[in-house]
Amino acid sequence: MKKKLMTISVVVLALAVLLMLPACAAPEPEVATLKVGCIMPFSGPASPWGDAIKPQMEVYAELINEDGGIEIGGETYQVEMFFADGEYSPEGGSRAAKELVYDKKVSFIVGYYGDGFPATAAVTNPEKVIFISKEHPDFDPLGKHPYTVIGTPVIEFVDTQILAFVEAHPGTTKVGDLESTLVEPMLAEEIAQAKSELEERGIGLVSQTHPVGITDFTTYLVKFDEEGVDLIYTWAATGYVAMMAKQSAEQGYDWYLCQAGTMLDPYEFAEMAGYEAAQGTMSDWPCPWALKKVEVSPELLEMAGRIADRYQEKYGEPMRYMGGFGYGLQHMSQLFAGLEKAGTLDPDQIMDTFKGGTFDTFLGEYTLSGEKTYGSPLVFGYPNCLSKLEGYEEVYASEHPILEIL
Amino acid sequence: MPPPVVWMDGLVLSSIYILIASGLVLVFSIMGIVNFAHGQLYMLGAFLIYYMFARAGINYFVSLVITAVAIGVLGVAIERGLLRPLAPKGLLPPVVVTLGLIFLFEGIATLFFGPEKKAVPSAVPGVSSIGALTVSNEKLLVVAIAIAVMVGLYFLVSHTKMGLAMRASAQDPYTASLYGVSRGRILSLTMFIGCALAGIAAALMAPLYYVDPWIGLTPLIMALLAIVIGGLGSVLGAVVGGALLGFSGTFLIYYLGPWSELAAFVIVIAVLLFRPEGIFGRPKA
Repeated sequence: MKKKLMTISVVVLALAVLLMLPACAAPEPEVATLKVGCIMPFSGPASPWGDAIKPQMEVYAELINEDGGIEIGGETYQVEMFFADGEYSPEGGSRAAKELVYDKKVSFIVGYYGDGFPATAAVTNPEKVIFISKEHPDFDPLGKHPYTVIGTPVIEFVDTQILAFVEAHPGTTKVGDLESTLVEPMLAEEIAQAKSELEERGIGLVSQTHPVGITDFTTYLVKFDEEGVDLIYTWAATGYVAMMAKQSAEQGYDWYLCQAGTMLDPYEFAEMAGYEAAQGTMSDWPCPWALKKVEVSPELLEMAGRIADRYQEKYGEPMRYMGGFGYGLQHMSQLFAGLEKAGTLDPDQIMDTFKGGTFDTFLGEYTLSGEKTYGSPLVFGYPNCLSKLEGYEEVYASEHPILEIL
Repeated sequence: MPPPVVWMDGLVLSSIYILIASGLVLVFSIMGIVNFAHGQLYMLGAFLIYYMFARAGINYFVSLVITAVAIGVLGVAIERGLLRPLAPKGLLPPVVVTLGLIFLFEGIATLFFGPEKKAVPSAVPGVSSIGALTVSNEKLLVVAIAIAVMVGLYFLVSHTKMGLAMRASAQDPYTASLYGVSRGRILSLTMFIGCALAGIAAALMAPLYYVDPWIGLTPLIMALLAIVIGGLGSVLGAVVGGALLGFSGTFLIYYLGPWSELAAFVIVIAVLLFRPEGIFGRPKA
């Protein structure tokens, strides 16, 4: 009986030791995570842009994590990305911001590409979530958005971009600006500035506005022809620009067609416009390795190349859309540069670092003027690098960087 | 006077508005409801022509006929499966269903065909010069086919037994049925023709512009405006309303620029104020 009791005790003791072993094992080092949110359109007519940029941002986060992560104040953080559909609307932007801030508990939102900046910022600012966005006409530079940074100055770049287009075509005598009724009020101030700058160079500018949703621009093109325009600038989306190219070619107009946006897919564009009609179309081209006037740090230049390589490896096709380097990827590089410099995750200290700091980004080094931009939002510059379509490829055409802003 | 190309553009736009508005008005005159999903049937037609002509390489004219028939058949399925069962419940349920179909069809198109814009190559490439007018052959084809289709529709409605039955059913369904006109068959036939017209319009427009899941909205709005101007229930009204909007659209753009959009609505408001039944509509007794 005693022997039996002893045997049972030994077995129980052995089992207990076995059960306790995992608890005694050396603890796994806890990996700190940086939760970064991104709001883009993943449904509706603007979804091709969100769908194009999202995989690029995922690849960037993947490469950063493989390299060990981001070092902030002596601690290393792995990057975890969370994406939400902003539907390119104020309602969608607000809903997506709430999902990211309250459910996913992100500390930062980058890459915003939509039409609901105030609605989104209204969610992020009270929670001190740092929000890096493209520019929006409704931002209040007097400090209503103290945790907002403008990563892509899309309105500020209008006049410098027009200059870049003109510089690519030295013989230009008159620029025609064609905008939708939705966009025109937003750009009016910048277009007026471009007009006066062009006049100083002896170049005219005439503007026309078209209703939203039309696909036949022939009448507008006829009027530009009557005005003697030799270069057309437009903020219209790629599909509309393709229609302008097609309809210009039908009428035999040989002016330069310049779109403010980045070409989503050169092949698709040439198919829509017609191969011949598409040739020479110029677009914004935020391509880090193409920049000539703006210098990108060797580390970020290498990273940009690795992103393109990994993208091709992962998705089996080259990374044709360069807009990611103007929006999502660029905002990520701005955020990481800010965090590394601040050395803390405290949002107030990070924003203080942004004010007056100098940061390396995929599109060059920018100093955010502390004096001029003391009231948020802070605005980064932009290279205004342009491409020209040759065959199905985009090639470098011109550059007119914004080095100082506001 | 605007240059000839502006006139030509007005003619092209008018042709398309007329085709879409005629289909819409035909359905309204017989069934008594506005099919708000008409624009999305147009969009599905554009995808059909893309997949048949641009992707599968089927002859354009064969693709056009198949598109018209397929969209017509889809219209019949909607009429038999959704609108007819709901008709006894009043006017609102079938109309709400057609509104719901807008989102259903756009969702289906996004899911299966993708949100990207798709290009349909020209069936008749090249440009023609007629005096001072330079115009793409594609636009000439659009106008020629639209005129042929509208003439065909006129003969069908005015000079055939089928057309007589349709007109009779539109005027007085009960009396028409006493003379042996099957109301059910007329409803299906009307829906078939009305939706086939949207399919033809889509097949004509797709090579001119591009195809994506959201292309149906603007043509639908313009067609609705055209039938309000021309008169609800009148095919002739749809023709006149479509032509008025098409030509005024391009002319007003030429003379007024962005104010042209406003001017189109001013025309509609003026018609509604001074002739609420539309130019060719019949005043209520």
